[in-house]
Amino acid sequence: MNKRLLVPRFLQELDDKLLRNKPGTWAARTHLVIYFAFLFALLTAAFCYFVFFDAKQDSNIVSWNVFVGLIAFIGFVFWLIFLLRFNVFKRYGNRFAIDSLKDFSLYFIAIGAMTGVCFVPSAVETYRANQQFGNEEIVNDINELNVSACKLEYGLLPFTWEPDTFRVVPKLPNSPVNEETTVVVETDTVLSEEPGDVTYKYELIDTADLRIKIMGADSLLKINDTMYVFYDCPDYTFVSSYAADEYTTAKLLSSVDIYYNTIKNYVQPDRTALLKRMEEFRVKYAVSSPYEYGDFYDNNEKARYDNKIRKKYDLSRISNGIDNVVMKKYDWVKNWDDYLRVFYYITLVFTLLVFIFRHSTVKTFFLSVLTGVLLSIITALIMAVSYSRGSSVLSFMIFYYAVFIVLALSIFGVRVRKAVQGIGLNLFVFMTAFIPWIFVALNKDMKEPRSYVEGLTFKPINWSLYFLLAEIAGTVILLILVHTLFKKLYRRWYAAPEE
Amino acid sequence: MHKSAAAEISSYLKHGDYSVAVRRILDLCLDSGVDDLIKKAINWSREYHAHEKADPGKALPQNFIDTAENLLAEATKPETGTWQNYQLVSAEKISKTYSKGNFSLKPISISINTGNVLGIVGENGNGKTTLLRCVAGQLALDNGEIKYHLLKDPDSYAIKNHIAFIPQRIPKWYGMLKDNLHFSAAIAGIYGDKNDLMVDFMLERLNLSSYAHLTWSQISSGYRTRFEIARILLQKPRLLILDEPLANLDINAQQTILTDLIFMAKGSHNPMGIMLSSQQLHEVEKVADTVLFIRQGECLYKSNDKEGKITSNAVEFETTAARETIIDLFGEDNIELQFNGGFYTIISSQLSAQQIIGRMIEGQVPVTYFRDITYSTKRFF
Repeated sequence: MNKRLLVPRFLQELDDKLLRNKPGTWAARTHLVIYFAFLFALLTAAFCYFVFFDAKQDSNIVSWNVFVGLIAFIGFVFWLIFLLRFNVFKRYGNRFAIDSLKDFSLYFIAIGAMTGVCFVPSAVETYRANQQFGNEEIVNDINELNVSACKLEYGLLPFTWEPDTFRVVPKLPNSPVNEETTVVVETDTVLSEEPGDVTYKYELIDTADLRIKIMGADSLLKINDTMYVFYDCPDYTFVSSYAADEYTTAKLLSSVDIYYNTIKNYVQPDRTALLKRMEEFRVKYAVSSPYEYGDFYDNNEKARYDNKIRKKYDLSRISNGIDNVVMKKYDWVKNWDDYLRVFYYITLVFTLLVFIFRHSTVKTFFLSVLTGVLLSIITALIMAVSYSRGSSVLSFMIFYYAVFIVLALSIFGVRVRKAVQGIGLNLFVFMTAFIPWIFVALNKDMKEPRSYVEGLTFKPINWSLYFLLAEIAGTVILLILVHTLFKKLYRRWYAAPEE
Repeated sequence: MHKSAAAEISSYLKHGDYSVAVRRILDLCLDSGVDDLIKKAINWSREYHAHEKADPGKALPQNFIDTAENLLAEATKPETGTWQNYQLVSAEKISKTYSKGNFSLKPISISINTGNVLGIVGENGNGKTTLLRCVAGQLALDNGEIKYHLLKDPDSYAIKNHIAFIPQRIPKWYGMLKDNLHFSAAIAGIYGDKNDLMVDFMLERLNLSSYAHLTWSQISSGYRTRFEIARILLQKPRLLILDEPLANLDINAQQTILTDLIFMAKGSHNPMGIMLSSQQLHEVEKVADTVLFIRQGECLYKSNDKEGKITSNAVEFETTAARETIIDLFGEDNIELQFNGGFYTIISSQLSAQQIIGRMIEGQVPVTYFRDITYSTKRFF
């Protein structure tokens, strides 16, 4: 039994068994890649766990991802060296019907394991943030911070709700209209206005804009069927974090909530207790950020009270910390689809390269890479010279793909191995998974200009769904062709005699 | 067949030719197809090699001889795996011209059956490797046709799976040598315990067991050739093509490897044909059923076609006697005497090789080397 460093006995036994029974699986070394990727992931996770001890600090996850990615790439190169050693296909060994698909899957799993490790720091960062701060805790703390600040600095707060008047018209005129109207302000509508006639300038809006404005309005006064006055509550949220309450039962208090709960019926607070609490929050969350530009000093009223309160209670630094925590906590929940795509495409591209490399000669493989690069350069040059649109690139790609298909299929007709056919076949294989996506992109590119022309009568298309379907279709087509066509083409081309 | 082999092996044992006896018993046990017997033979062979390593030249213990006789008796008991002679490959007027360069392989026809050895000789750059690569399916033919009689409508992959080609410069192996052997056996469909058994067998058969845990860079070029042969044999090819296999082997190993290949080709375990090129004319001629001499891409001589073509006898010899002494001995009209700086060559249409050496003994000419090359390709060099 050949002893390998750090390989446990059971894996060594599995390795020996595969060598004697499943040479194709053994040669792919997927079992060892998974094991070492797992070890590396554990090590990375343990290291990151201790490094990411303070979730409120700024994230340097990109550096970590690059660092781990580089190590994973070294692992990939090391694996490639092992792959060069044994190849059932290139030794003309016994091949079974499922072997090509199996090989492709094994490469995908092995590369997936290596790619997956790159996401470990990010996952640990999220885990640590969730471990240190509860979802409800963050929301409650933000609310408490804002309410306490308002209670402590009641004297500084503005109470006037800014009005904005609009008249709804069926169709907007081409030039803006600024007219005046008189509206009657009723008691209890706002604090700042005395009941009576008030003159406001109004703007014209259409019904669509009205709907949008109603959804975001703090307060609304309907004067008649076409005339509306919107009131904006002053900002009492000194600390806020985008979507911090998206996944919690407790919700962030808006300025309106604070106004009605705290300010409208103001009660003198226990200042000592509140100040102590504010200091606790400062210790808990405050953190300096390298991207911080300091507090703004502006002459307007809002800036004046806002800056004073922020500065007094170190709320900018507290906001930094809370933002960092929230960003880390919900990173995976919010971005899982992006992460999945990054993982999938990195894994797929490397898998395709390895699959092609394992089925063609070294010379043809590198000529294929060179051809791909040259075609990209030539296409870019044509595009630059002819001021073409995006659809032209996509059309070029479809044209190239058609040429590659013709070259690859010509392998069935000749009895000699030619590099040009091998290059065609390699690029045919490489592009297949992306072709449905390219077709959808081309379709979108051709249809989108129409939407501007047709304006609101154009029915919007859910392109993201079509792109998702194209991605799935590309993968399925690729796997079907690997199993049916590509294996036959490679077998015929690689084994053919040379000129 | 088993009985004649058994008699031959008994004779080896009786006269102390243990090395060849061990190899032949291993072959016989393999042909029996009984795994337990093969295992016993492997263990017995290991004992022999261990003894040879520890006490070379010391007499073997009696139980070694007893085991040998038991193995022999058991291996000859079942009449399984009878050897059959059938046609493997035939090439009809195949020719090849390279697009770059001006070399052409002129039309050549060959045929190889199981157990046959086809030797190809000729000077460097005259088309030996081209011919071998054409038969191996590595080079496209310009004209002619090659038929692989055991394959039905084969594609190029099936042909290369069917034929093994060992090039003159063997590509480097990576990893442990034994792993490579296990892998080769597995890709040929030999799995599990059988895989272990066959690898152990091949290592013992070619006396490579003590090198199995080494790597390619740790063994000499001669052993590399032997490991490559072991690897190829594990893949059970029906036609084995070797390009200059003897180039890296010492003189003893050359003979051993050639005879081993012949024994295995003629065994019932995996009867195969062998095609090899070499500069070692005498070694090749000793084992080959047919020898082709190629010069400038053309087959000048085929040993099977010797009738009617050889009209004179030829010998080569080495002596310290002067040229005049030799001419005086035979008479200038009876022989044609040539000297290449090392050997003398006598070509005579009247005197046979026996008569020539007889005269030299009678004439008390000191002879340090003598060989009848009447039917050897040596006379073409």
